[in-house]
Amino acid sequence: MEKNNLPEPKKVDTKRLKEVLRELKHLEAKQQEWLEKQATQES
Amino acid sequence: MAGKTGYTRILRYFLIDSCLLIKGTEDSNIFFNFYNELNIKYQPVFLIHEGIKFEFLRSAVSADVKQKREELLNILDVTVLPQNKFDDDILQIAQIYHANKVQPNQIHYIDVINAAILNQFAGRVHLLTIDNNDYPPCLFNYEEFFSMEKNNQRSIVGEYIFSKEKYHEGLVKLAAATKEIKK
Repeated sequence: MEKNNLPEPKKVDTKRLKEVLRELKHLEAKQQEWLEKQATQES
Repeated sequence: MAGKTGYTRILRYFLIDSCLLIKGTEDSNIFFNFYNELNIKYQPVFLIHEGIKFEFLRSAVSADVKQKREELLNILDVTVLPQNKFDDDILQIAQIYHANKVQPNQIHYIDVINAAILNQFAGRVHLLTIDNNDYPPCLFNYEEFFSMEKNNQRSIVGEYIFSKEKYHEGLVKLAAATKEIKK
């Protein structure tokens, strides 16, 4: 993309967006759980 | 572009701050509702720069989380701008912040790049952020506030535009300060 140009709009798949956000929330929670476990083990 | 309800949505370019993306990973429903609210009013096109992408991805310890965060950017069709193309006036923007009582340690490189992008596309690109204090009134005008609420906790998403007028006033102030300090 050139410095002064802005991209053309594209249609967002809102159904897929909802799914990705839900999947992400689940994965983030699992990652957080692992991080907390690591922190507990190290303390 | 006419939506389902027949009215025309305005095409609007939004530069998304990293705090808002990170919030989106914390609560999918809140972020989805926020997206829908934007989508009703506007035909939104999302932009970030490389520094924002770095901030968004750096805390992904798991490869699955990283891949899913990247997928979120793809689904939203976020365009990643090369940050070095906007380096020209970041120092002047930071100096204007400081001349307006923002302490240097509160002036973040990533935020100043956001400001430089908004300056480059002044009036055409709007910023969305939760860190409202990082975009002071000495350079930014607020357009609208959106509220994201859950369990009695409220995040305020601010929509800002860069003020060319304030920027030029800031440059004049810097020049005057240089003269006075020289005396």
